[in-house]
Amino acid sequence: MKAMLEYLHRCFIRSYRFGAPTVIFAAILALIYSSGPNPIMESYAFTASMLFVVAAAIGSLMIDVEAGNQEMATMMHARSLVRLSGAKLLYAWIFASVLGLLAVLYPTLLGRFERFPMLEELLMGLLYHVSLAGLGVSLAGWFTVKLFESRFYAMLGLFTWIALAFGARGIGEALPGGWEWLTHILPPLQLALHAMIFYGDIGTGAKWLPIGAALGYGVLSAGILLRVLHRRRLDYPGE
Amino acid sequence: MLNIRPWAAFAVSGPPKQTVIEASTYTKKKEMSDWQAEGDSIGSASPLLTLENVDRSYGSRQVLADISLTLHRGESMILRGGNGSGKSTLLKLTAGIIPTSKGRVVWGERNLRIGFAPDRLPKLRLTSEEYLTHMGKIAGMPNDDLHLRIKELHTLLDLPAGSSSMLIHYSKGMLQKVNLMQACLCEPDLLLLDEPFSGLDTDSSEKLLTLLHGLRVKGTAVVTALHDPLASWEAVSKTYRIREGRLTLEEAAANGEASSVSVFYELDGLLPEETRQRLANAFPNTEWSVAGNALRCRISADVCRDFMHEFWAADGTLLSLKRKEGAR
Repeated sequence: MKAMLEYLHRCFIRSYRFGAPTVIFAAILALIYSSGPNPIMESYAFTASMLFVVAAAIGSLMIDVEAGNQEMATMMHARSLVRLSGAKLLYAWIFASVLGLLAVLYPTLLGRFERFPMLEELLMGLLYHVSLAGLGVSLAGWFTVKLFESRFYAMLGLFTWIALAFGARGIGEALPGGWEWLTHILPPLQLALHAMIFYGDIGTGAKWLPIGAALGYGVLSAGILLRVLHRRRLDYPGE
Repeated sequence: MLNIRPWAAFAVSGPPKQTVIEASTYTKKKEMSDWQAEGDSIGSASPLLTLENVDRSYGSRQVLADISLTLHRGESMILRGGNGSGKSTLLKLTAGIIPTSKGRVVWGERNLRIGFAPDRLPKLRLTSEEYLTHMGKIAGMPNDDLHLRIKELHTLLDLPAGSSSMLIHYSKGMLQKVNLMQACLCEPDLLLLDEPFSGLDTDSSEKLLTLLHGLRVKGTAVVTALHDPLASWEAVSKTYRIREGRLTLEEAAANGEASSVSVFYELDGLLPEETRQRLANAFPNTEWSVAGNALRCRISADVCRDFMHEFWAADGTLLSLKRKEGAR
């Protein structure tokens, strides 16, 4: 796995695919922390939600970082498409988590919060960012040319799913009675955002639940995706 | 410490026996027999690969139908067929890169090492050494062995090792060499090559042939999808043709058993007049057209090797040799 991560890191960095999402995320951080003081956990809620979108973009760019023929050759050396695709998702998660670390430390070190955060706030803020980054990456894996006939439809599907995740709470309220459970199919983004916004008013369990839910959803999504890829192998629908 | 393999050792200094002429298409008969004998002695154990009634469709279009074949260690197989006939699809199915629509692919060993060279490698922002090092590490090769192997393959295929040029700056032929190197990196049990000679110059084709013969003798089963004639490889390989999704053994076609297509070779060359008659008597079914010392011969596939042997013995000069097909 280490060898594959090293290879993917080199491919990703030299492809400059990281450029757009990284620059956009850094610009968002610079913009929102250009003035202060800011509330701690509410600010983290905003940057974590942005990181969820950026992580989805990174995951989407990473899963297709290799050209078709290149991926075939790599797969033969890795002896498993599951291992190779798993490494891609893991790398994208690590990359997005580093951006999450930046989002947690940048305002802290520059003194842009209303007060210096407590250690618990820093750690929980980081965990929320990392878990939402994993959630974003796990979704992106589904919306690629491996499973869609064109990149356009793949991107359209990804953006729709992200929009549904943001609107889950509103969708739940709009649904007729007894149908709210449908929102549980959507990524548990709102759960995490709610926990961060009302961080001081909720109990310990409610603080940890969104992290577990995001990680659980991400692991399940990635697991099913890898199983589908194992069955389909490199049989692109566009061919 | 990696042992330098016998075939690699001679390949570095140039093959001692093999003589390849005109786009590396011809090897003298004696040497071909040597390769064949060595390879055949290996290919006798249980099958390395079996395809059982394999079908493959893309949507409603059936590309391959009812393909069955068996491949043993040390055997080599050539796949021929027109563009889009399904050669690449069959290689990908065999490698396990894509699934079958029906039927199954059975590999004879649990941890079979398969080398696969796609029809072209994309231009990557990596040097050849970086790329091959990554591939070797992913495959689990020990570092020392890997570095030796990479140097060995660079020498063998005449590409500068340690070059700082990235693959995006490589020519088609140079990329093809890197592509072939990655496929041969781990000395695979089964080597699948899609148009391996595409883009290679004469000298490089000759070196690749030496590499393939060496791997085959060591027990690697080799499947190559080819367009161009390659007599020294054909001599040690079973040639199959894919037509309308079906796989037929071309030897059968040459014998008139299963196909309506005949294979022949068209030779353009120079041959002194005094020896021309002797050759004409020895090969009465060969068609000749002559203008001075220059001649054009239409040679049937089954006598081509013998004809070439006599042609060289008669001090003939080969200008070109083309594989052709004609309806019976």
